[in-house]
Amino acid sequence: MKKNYLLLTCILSFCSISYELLFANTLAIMSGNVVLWHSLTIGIYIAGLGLGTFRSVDIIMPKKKLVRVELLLCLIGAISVASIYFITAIYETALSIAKAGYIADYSSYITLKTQLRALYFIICESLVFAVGYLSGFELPLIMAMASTDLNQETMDESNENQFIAFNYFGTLIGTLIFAYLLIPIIDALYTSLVVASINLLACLWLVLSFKAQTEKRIKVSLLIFSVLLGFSFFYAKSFEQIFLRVYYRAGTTFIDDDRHDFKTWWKKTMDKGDVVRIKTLYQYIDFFNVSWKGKDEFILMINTNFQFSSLNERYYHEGFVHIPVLITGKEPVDVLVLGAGDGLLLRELKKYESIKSLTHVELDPEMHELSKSNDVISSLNEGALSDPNIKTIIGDAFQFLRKSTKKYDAIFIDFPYPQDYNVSKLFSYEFYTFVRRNLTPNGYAVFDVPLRTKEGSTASESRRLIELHSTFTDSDFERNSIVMSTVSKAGFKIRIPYLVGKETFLLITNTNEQLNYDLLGKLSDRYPNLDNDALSLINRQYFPHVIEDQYVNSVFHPLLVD
Amino acid sequence: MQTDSVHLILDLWMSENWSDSWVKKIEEIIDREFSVVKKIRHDFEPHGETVAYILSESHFTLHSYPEENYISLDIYICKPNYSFVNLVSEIEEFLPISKINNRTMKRGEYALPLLTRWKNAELVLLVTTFIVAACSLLYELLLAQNLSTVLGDSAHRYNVTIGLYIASMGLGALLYNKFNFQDKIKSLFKVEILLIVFGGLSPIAAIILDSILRDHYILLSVFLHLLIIIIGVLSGFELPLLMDIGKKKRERLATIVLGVDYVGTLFAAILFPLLLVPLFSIFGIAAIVAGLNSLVAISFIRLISFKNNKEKTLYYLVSAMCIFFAWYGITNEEKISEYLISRYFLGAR
Repeated sequence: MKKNYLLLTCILSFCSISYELLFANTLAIMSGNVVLWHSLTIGIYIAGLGLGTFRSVDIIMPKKKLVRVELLLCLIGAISVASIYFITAIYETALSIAKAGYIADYSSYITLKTQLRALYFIICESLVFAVGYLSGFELPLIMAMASTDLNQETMDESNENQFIAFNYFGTLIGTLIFAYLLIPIIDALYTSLVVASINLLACLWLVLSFKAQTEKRIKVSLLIFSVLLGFSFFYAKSFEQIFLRVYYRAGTTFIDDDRHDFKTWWKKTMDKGDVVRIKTLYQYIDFFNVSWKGKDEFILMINTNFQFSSLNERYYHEGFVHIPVLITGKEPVDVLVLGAGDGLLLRELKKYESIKSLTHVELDPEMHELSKSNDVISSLNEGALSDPNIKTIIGDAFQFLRKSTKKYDAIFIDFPYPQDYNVSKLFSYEFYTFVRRNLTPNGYAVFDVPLRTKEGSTASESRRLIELHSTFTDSDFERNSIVMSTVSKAGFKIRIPYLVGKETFLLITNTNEQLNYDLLGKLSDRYPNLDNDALSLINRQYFPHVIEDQYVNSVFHPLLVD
Repeated sequence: MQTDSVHLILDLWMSENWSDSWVKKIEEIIDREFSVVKKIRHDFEPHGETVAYILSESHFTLHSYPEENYISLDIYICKPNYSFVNLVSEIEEFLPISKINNRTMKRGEYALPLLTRWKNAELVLLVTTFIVAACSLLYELLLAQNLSTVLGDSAHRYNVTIGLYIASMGLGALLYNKFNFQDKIKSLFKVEILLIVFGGLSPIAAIILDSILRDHYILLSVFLHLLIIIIGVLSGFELPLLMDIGKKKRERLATIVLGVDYVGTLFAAILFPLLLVPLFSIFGIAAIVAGLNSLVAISFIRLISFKNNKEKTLYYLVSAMCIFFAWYGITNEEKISEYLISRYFLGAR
């Protein structure tokens, strides 16, 4: 009998910590910044636990209360991820509509964004608090139950400690199963349903074999809830699909149609096929079609952050690869490409016959496989990833560079923008120091990075297709300074930032050879999309910044987070 | 004389036709559970009764309404921690109850709002608890950040660290009873010093371990996770120690200590991502947390009763050294991190 109680303790604490982790991880993926969401969520969860424990002291019918608590917890747990999806979809759509010109100026847009974010935070974290609060009741209630049922072996202190131990034990198992099994294998939505089912089974076990005198309406709600939870496994995929379509298309389709009629808006959002979501060990890859100004556009997102659009990626990748070659006047021979799992950058590089060796380092094998096998992506990259001359290494670029001793004369770095500290590490001075060590004396490296020109083209805002003009602000100055100070600290003396379309790049080198910034008229078949306008701009762009130690982005002190 | 009491009010509606045995059964239970000093009973016409017991623990009253199938009862007990769970479950078991309504009320000093009853010395204990709890979570977050800087993949590291840390704290709380600390305040001081050393130096240990064991991933991650367990176990000692120190002063204070502990945790959870991480490097954060912890340690020395002056001097010396090193770490944060990174992380080439 006592064993049963200990097992129950273990299972319930497993479920509770899993809910906490689900909230923290989903929030971190949906809105970036792992550290912020993990810290706040664990703090609010523990505060909830404390209040719950505090309030459980006076309860005199523990079994009844525990059944109710568990029923509520199952319910919140089952909808945890779904509700974050739902709230996020509304939040994103509202912001897109605001961006579309319903808000006149940039500052009131920022105010609105801050208010919406605060609301988003309050709603999501109240759910976390509720989970903590309810979980706080569990241990005291089980211990109270055990003390009445196990009369023969009265609860002494060592018995109490056993319960506490099993509670912690369940927490440990929960986090380990969660981190090593659930999250890598099944995605967050199904994980939430699986954990809620385990919780529901524990609840049923509680009703049936612990002789909890349960009221009829609780029994009925348990039954209804079991049926609903069973069904939700079948409908989870379609729910996710609706969420993804609204999340990615609702804003764009709203702006695309001036009539703003709800019916056509909804229809356009739901049409255009599935948003395909692939869950890999490292990230969520989403891709879909959307109609924009009468054209069909293919867009790929990683962890809900923009990667590329079929409409303008050529312009972008041509600027990425060819402009540095023009400026340095050197066609690359030994080339290293970091990131760029979509293969689009490699397509541009393959235009140079001068290249003798091309090494490509990509973290995510599934991203690599997708770009090879998916029809749309492989036709965009012209099968570049299947080229046998390219040496592909699947691994972490940071560790690769840190260990590598080979010298390259050009390194192209295409990572996602630094949305969290993981990626910020790849924009650190430690990383650029490793880059410098792997370059020949006259070699160069180039990477895309968030920078702003004085004219204030809003690089990161415009990534969702909708442009909102802004003035150059203090935070833009700070960001420019962080990027420039960081590469300077890593020992790069020549730093040339440039803007192509809406994307900004930074070319860094220590070369002794003559550089040529005047690219006017240097048109070529290699880069048909770059016109004289784009080429002539390079030496006229101004990115205000200072070089100071306080702006250096380090692995141990990350500053560059969007 | 302590006034802390609890008062149970119970309304019972029965599902079957009235039986006089129900009131008898309740009286039997009361007779067995408490020591009855005096009984008074009054029977009404045509039915219904009022029973009042004077207990050495306080009192018990009962009114029955047979025509309504209803019994109302009150039990007032002069023990703040008395639990009615057993009593109510017994009543539930023996009577055919269709509806039950219960309320427990706090009475006496126990019922006053907490704030009005804080005394000066107790305030020190509570402030200490607050800081200690905040430091404890800060160490945890620091370790997670530490792990993700060295091993990468921060979401995964945060998930694992939280579980491991909570489990280690649990282990600490369990070991606490085994160790049977004699002088609680002295023990708390020692625990704090160990935490300052391990916690404050943890990022430095991580960066040096990384430079030595770079090619031995498993060994490196074992060492780094071991660090989490050590700091978790040490933190696990803190709360039971603080609660025992509180209990010695006043039974009820232990609960308040527990509450403050959770508030401190929440405070740290907000402080870390919004202020500490943007402003300081991981080495700076470690120094700040160690510094806060040192202040707690030194404020505790006053409460310790020492055998001789030599011992007292030693305690002051140790905590002064901790404060000095923490201060040095905070003010020279940039120099230290620059040295550590270029010497150990980048490595000369």
